[in-house]
Amino acid sequence: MPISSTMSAATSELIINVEGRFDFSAHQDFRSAYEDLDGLPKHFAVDMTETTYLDSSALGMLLLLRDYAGGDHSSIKIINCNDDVRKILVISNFGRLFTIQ
Amino acid sequence: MPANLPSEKCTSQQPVNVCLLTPQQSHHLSIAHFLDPTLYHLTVVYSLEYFTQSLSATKEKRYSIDAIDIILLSTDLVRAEAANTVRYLQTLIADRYVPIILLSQIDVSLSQTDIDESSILIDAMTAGAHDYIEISPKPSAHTAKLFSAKIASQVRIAAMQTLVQQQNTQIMQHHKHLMVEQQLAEEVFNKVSQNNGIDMANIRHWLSPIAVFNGDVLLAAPTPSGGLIVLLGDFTGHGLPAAIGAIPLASTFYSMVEKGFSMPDIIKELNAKLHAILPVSVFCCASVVQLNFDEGIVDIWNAGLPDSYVLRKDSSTIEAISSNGLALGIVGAGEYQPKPTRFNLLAGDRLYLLSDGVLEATNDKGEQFGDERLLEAISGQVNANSEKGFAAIKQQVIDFIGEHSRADDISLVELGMVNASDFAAMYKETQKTITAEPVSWHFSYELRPDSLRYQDPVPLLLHLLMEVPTLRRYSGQLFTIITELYNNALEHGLLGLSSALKQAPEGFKTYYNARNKQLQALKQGSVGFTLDYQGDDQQGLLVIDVVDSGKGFDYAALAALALPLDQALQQSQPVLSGRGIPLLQSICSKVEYLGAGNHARVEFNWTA
Repeated sequence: MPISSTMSAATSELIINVEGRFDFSAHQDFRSAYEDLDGLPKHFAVDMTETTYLDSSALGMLLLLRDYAGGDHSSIKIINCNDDVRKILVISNFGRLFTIQ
Repeated sequence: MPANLPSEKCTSQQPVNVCLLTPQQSHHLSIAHFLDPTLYHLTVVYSLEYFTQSLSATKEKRYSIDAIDIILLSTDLVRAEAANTVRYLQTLIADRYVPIILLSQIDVSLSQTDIDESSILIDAMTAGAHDYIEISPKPSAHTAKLFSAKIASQVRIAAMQTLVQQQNTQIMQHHKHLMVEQQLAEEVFNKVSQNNGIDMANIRHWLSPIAVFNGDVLLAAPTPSGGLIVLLGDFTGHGLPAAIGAIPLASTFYSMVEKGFSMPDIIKELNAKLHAILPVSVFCCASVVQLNFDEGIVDIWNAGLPDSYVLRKDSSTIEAISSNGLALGIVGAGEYQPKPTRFNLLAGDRLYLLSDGVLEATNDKGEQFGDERLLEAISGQVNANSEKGFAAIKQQVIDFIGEHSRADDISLVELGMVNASDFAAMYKETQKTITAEPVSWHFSYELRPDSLRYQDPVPLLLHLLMEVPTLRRYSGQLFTIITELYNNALEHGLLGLSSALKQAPEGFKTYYNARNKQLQALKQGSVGFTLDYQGDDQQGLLVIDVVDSGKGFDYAALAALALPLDQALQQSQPVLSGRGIPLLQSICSKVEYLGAGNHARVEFNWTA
């Protein structure tokens, strides 16, 4: 599951794309996508357009990102989820912690 | 690991130990001049017998088989025995990778004798030799260079091979270590969850019987008031992270249920504890259910697990309870407000809790079992008895995924609503015979305004009583006694509230608003408990005195009525209604009022 990211300097938003299955094997790549940056972006977006599946360790990774981005003060959008992915996020009530679009 | 790795030697300029096995008269001896002595240390052995002897005879390092990095074997020495010799050398080398290179006669394709030579080479290489090098009787400078290049290449391959072997050994060791750790974690976990109630007859469960547990946890314990609280949890990740979380989860769950804390309080505490302990990325999805058998009430809270289901007897529709909370351990205490859904159920109605393993169970076509199949399987059991029904659901999942598939991530639990008396009987069966030393103690506890405002003394007192093993089976009755006595002392005695308030419509609301308001304004006053217990394993007597600082009531007038206390109380409405005294009398051997009526004393007796 390749992870790629793009940084928008204008909006100070980091967009992380997750391709394929988002599970424990993505752990290291997902972390480096936001940790290996100069400075902390103001906003984050996790783009799930290409994400086919999400497991509970992926939810854990999203929580790690949230923690890194400032916890309750973080600004993280999860965008373009397919139905399966959205269902998992809804069951987990992650709408309380992230902006799901 | 032996220290003589060729790779280390190349980099550290230590010579590579080359062992040349050749007859004395062979021109193969000429290779001695091809090898750079700063890079290679050559040992020449003229016969296999001598080689074998020297291995065992001397302790000088270069003759030790473990010190040899490459073996050059002249076919002149062994001829037809080449293949056997290679096999023999390999047994000496054992697990190490040491290239065995054959030194052959000139050009193998030319003459009749050379055909013999080539079949010798083929046999030897089939037996395990790594390569061959042709050496002519008068080798050119070019041959010498080629020879050195080949040897250097073999040294690199050996180094790589050794590294792979080394890493493989390391991985195996790590794996072994990991398995041992996980087994330890599992052992601790099993101990923590051992005093659980999941063996009760109204709980059926299908939990993955895997060696290293899968992160799913099932906890169940009877409440002091005769109910049952069950938790099915699913931790992020398997193995160690699950174990780390499961241990505080189980211990907190059991101790709080036993002490009579309410279900929302237990959930809040579990969340707070896991939040404090676990890493950010580890959490526990959970369904928590409280069954109140007396009133047929079930409260369900689903935090992150797939829908739980209610299947009513004589009904084909199934009600789903969807997750409406964050999993335990994600947010801090202040932000966590569990809101259980309430159901009124009758004996025979059933509840199903599950983790995502059942829904994601996959057959060999890659299809998942899914919620539609599960709903169908569950609703198909309306008329089956619980035991057969549950087995049938399980069988449908197994049939779907096929016998050869692993079903190691499945947790499915069925809870049956039963009559209170039936549950009490089940509970009794799970309690083992208790032996106890004689016990005798006295305990006083006084609550002043701040504590009266903010603390509930019932769990603390109950906890104290539950320290006496023989009293544990009476936890429900003791809970009732302490609750009734405390409410009477606080609400009627100290705050002077009248139960008559509760008679009106909206009465309870008015009553509790008044209670809270007065409690907040309370400046002085107290409620004191004195508990006195004496007992052994055959019998026991508990005397509880509760004294409040209120003005009391005219209990003597009641006595003057010369009626049994409960009837007298009924006649003296409204002063004393709602004091639960008939309830206390049904449990206690003695209920009396002393002093100004602000002092209640009850005695609770038990005999084996």
